[in-house]
Amino acid sequence: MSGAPQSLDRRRFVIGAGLVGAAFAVAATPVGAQNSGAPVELGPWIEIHPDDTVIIRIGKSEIGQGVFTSNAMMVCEELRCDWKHARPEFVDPRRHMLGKLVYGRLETTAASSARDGREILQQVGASARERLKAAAAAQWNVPIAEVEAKDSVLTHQPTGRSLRFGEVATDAASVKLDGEPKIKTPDQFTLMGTRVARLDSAMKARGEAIYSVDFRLPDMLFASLRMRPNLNAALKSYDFEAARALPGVLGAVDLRGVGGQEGVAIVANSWWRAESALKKTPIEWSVEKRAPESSAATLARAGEIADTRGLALIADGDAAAAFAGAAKKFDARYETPMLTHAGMETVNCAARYTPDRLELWVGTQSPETAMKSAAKASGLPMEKIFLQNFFLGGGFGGRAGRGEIEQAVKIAMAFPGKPVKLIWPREEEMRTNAYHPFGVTRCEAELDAEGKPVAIKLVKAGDVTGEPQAIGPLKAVVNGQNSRSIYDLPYGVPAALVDIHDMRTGFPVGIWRSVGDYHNVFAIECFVDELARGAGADPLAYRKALLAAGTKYWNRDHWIAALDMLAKAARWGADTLPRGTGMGLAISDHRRPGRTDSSICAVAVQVTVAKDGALKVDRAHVVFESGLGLINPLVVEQQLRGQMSWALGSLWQEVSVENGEVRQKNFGDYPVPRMSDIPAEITIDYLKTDRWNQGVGEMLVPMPPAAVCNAIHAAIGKRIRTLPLRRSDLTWT
Amino acid sequence: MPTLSINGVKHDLDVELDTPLLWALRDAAGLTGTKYGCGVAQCGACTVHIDGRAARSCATPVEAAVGAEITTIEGVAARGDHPVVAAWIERDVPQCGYCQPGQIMAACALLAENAAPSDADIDDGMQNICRCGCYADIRAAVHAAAAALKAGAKL
Ligand code: FES
Ligand code: FES
Repeated sequence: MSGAPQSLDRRRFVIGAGLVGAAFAVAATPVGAQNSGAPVELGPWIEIHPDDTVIIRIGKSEIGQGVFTSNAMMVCEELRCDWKHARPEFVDPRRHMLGKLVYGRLETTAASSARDGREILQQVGASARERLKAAAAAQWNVPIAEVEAKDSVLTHQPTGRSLRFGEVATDAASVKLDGEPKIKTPDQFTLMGTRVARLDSAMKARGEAIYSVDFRLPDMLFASLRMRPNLNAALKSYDFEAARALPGVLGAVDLRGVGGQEGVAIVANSWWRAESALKKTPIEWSVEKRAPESSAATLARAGEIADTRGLALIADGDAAAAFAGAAKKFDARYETPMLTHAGMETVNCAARYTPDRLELWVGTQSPETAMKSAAKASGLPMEKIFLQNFFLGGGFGGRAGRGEIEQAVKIAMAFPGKPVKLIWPREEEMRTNAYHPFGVTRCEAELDAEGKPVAIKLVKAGDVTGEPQAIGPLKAVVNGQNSRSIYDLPYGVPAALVDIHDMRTGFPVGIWRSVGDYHNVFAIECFVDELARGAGADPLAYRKALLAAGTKYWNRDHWIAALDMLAKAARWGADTLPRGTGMGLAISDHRRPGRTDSSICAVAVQVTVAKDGALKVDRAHVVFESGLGLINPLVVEQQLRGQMSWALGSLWQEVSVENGEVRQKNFGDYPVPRMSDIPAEITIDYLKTDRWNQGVGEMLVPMPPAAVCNAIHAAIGKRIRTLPLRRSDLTWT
Repeated sequence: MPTLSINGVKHDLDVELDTPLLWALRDAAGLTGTKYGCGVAQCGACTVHIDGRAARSCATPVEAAVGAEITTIEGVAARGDHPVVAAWIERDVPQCGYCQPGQIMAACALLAENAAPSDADIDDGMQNICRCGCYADIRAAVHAAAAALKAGAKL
């Protein structure tokens, strides 16, 4: 597997070039296929080879969500090539940047892979098909309408004459269409919407898929690093003398302030030698105040802040009057901690620098940011930056640039002409991140004598980063992530107040699957459950009643339909469960201001709590809004089951800061779910609606924590309002 | 320079004897199918077979593997018709795929000891981390591989 020298201006990098590409070619090219001439581009997305191979450029990162398969399906649906000829490859980010963002948005976050791509890629496929048809029609001198495209063959219907795509691609390249052809509607799909086997399964199962951490060149050097052990530390000095003489060690690079981080790297001829040398390198840090010392103290402060009025997101009806006159008052505070991604592949980036050319090999969720970071760090203009993206060993929002690009560039500039691969050790990966922020929500409500809420007041305090925007009916200028889903309440309550506090604590926070939805759905869906129990009602029926009761929520009928489906799938209320066993549910829809697409997701779980407090999730049921149709249900279901695992795992997780130090260093102190933690039964049902589904990659994540805490209450009568769960005593007698 | 026997081939490797086998495989032998996930025997991404038994190569010094027969995912996949690899592909188990070589090596070792594992056996025997949460699919693929073994396939 040692690679031949490679250069990034071979565009066929991923598919065709020895080391990196061989596996994909094996996976997707018919055996014995020969290229007998030059491949032809039909626009930037598609390239057709004389042997009918169709290269489809994928403008999203493959982070496990199956985009290499599903986005290729969007093109092939319209192109009508034989699926076995489809060969996806990463787009060239440099072409994208120099060509005025020709591929749209490469950044792969916020469950955008299918959402951003579908219409564009269908159009790309349809246009290419029409150009191929026009080229064939011209060769035969017949009307285009008499030509049919199917399975990579163009047929003149009246005479039966045929040409392969590969035979007319060159002519097609010069065809100009009078107008863009119409794309198919969901009822016309034949490939999209079917369960298509992933094109990357075999290479991944065989250990042949190449991640950037695997990328090798013959003369490659390796770097490891140490970053600040304390959020408030800056690099003061390091003593390289002892390490310098160790075998294979080549140098140390000061990474003070590089990529927004503090640290030092050692470069050697193997990664382990670099890492071992760091263990023998004394490093001194100086403390400068930039972040709070303690996450516990900060959370306590957030709790106090949530007791005060913030910026109003919603102010419906006369809440003050309603609170004064009602029969039964509820008051609860929900709290979720900071979390980290802990994807399986740690952060890494390889780079080779010369004054004329900077090459980067990095798996990234944000090639645009990576290109810009590299240009800035090297001082080179964009046309001299060459970047190859790779399969990522997990994304989850945690691989969109964490300083590794700038660090790798700085290291490579210290060894000009040599490729150097920087790999973060797991401990550094866990302690240096932009974490999922904490969220605290104070929830108050009044019920009337019949148990109906007459007023509700929610005050959310959460840590934020980035610029605020105008959100909600009152156009409050607040952080979009912090106010997700809480800016619009589907449950009908005559008087509602929702306030938000954007805190800027100084903790490094960023994006993590679902971000603010995670906090806000937890608070809303647990609190509604409290109200239902307080009213003596069934929580599912209570939700339906609140949705039906005069709410203006635009999507409420679909919510009610989802709850009905969930009741059926989960056998809700069908059995009398023994004490210690209970069911709970949660529902939300990933709402975003101004969106007309929708992704309702409802989850019900059954849990069993042993007397000693041991918790087991017995079964889980998912209703997911497929809307007008999913691209590839196979990868959707993979992701939904995966998100169930992700979210159940989060119940036990916490990133905590003490004395300025992140306490979690590896999987030993940041528990992630394992096989035995996953319910044996997970069902998935689809809710078809008249809207497009909004995405998949984070849609389920907010629901299981609320569903589990509601189920715990049903099982043992204890109300869990704070995560992680280990803060709560789940024992019972 | 220690010599290791990997997938039936002898390799003279430029590594110190206390180097973790993982890094000898990846950096010195160029076998990158075996992955680094934690470096402290907690995740299983680095699982290989040493004399047929599953071992976490990040916590195994090269010294301990000298003289033994080491099998990596490349060795298993080279067989072409391996029932565990086949089950993984058939079921479309991988998402990001990063943990899967380790999962497959762990599954092979489990099936070698117990050709027809129950769900509980799989829970116990497969303690590798998959951050993408492919667990339900992994479980199904192990059962499928067990069925293939019963039908005559060889590990
Ligand atoms: S890398 Fe060896 S167990 Fe995690
Ligand atoms: S498939 Fe991504 S970690 Fe297992």
